[in-house]
Amino acid sequence: MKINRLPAPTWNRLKVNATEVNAVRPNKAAGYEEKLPEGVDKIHGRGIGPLSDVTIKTGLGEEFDKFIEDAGFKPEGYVVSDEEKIETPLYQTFDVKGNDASVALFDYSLSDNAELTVIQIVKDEDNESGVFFVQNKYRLSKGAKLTIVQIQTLSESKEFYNDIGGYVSDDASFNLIQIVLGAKNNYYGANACLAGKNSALNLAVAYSLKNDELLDMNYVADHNGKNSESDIKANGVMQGRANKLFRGTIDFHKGCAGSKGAELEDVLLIDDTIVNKTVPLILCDEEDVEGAHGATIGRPDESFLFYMGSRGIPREEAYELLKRAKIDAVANLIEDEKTKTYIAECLDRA
Amino acid sequence: MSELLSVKGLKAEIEEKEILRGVDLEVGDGEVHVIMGPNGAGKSTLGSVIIGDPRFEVTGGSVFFDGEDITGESPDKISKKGVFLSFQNPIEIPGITLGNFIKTALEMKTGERIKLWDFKKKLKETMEVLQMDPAYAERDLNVGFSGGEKKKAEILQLLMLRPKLAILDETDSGLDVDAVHIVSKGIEEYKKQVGGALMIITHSTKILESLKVDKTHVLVDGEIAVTGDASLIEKINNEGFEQFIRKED
Repeated sequence: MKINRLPAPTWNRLKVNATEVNAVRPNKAAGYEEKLPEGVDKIHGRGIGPLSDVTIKTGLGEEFDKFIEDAGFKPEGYVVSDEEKIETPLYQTFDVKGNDASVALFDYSLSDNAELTVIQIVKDEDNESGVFFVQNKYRLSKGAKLTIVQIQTLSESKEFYNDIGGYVSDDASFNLIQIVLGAKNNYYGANACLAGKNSALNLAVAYSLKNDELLDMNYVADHNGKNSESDIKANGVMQGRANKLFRGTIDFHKGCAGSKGAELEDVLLIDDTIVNKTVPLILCDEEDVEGAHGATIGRPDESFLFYMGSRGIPREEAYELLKRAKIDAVANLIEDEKTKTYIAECLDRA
Repeated sequence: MSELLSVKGLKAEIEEKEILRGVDLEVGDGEVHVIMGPNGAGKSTLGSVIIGDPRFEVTGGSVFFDGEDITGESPDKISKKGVFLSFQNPIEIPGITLGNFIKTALEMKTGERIKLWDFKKKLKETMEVLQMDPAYAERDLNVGFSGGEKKKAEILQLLMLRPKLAILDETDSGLDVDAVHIVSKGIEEYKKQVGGALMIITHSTKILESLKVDKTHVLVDGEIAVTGDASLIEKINNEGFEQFIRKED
């Protein structure tokens, strides 16, 4: 199947329009530990809440969505009622074990002015070549705010498919924070339909890739509502023979007057053997909009290394400091101190 | 006093342009040396080459520190032996906080993890000496710092890292009177606490007022034109460098 398809294709020879994968069919519902805060109702099955009729597009795309649906697993639904602001995060910890192809599907429905933070930690303690699929879909009513934080520290033998998609009503906002620290093959996609006026997407991803690790991303902000805003940031460090493809699309549809979208990528390249591809895309079918793209891609310069050296910090440690800085810049967006500490511990162990 | 730094016939160039043309210099343990000279004489290059700046190619001579040949060594190795360079224009490093940077440098020096609590306490005390707002420890290194704060951050590193030899490259340049006073206090504190040697590259004498200068060297066109005692500073202040330049001609 083809996943992470660009909303508007470019030259085929660049091989970035979509990614062809041969994913193993999921054969097991993933086990996970959960801490469900008070005020969140959990319901087994898809199609819940006031926007249940809305069709959700996801970042990995239609073929992946069908592939997951055909596997026959049911999602877990979470509902937050009107005006409920849940202060304690919903924690979900996945310990991916063995050679299974396991799957976890979630649906979040937040009613008017409801707020929720979901923290998902994906890790393993073995070196088996398993596959893990996770899909999060969300529907946000007027003024609702959903934050999803994902931290992934899988071993280098695992394959990880991480798919997100949702619908954002008037004055509602979706925040996504992703930290990618492991797995051999990573496929990340997120699509936000900014349907309502003043709807917003804030997306920040930080990654550290080494050896032969792959990270294939597709992030799409679909601006439909007036004065909608999107902000996509990607911070990364690449070493060894790591391979990264970043697709970031800001799509201004007819009628989204007054909308603003920005995407910014900051990649630190440590070795010459890495493969780094970036596809920034701004599509515009509306006149009164602002779209911006910026990228900083390169190696640390000699003046930086000399300054570090003059304080007794050798090249390798200087790179480590920079790597940490890139991850911290995104990790610091997380409000939950426990999660920030967890990330710091993961980085200390790495 | 025993010899700490010994520079012999040091020649260095950058992009095939010779900057140092045979510098000879010896600094004993705990001594204070002042390097003066006209613009473009090679003063900053001398400091950079001693600590192993890879932009420069050493084409002749040697640098010995604490009895070891450090010519051509990497800056991190030279630094670990106890040499510190306070930069004239320290770079800005987004993402790495001043506190985290100093902690990492200290851990590299000692080879041991430092307890965060102990470190923060020591850092706060040292920042107080330099009248630095403790919030600077959490700010990205030199990013958005004023010229004065950047220089204070350099002296803060000097006090925290406690090297055997500190090379101060125009640490007082661009500072107002109050900032020069605070930086001078920091340098005095270094002498008091560590007793290390100082090589002070300067155009001004304000920073030297509270220090006992052992030797003054005048660098002209990549060579030491003359070496004298502290009285040479006064002479230069009154008469300028022209006498030495003419001597060269």
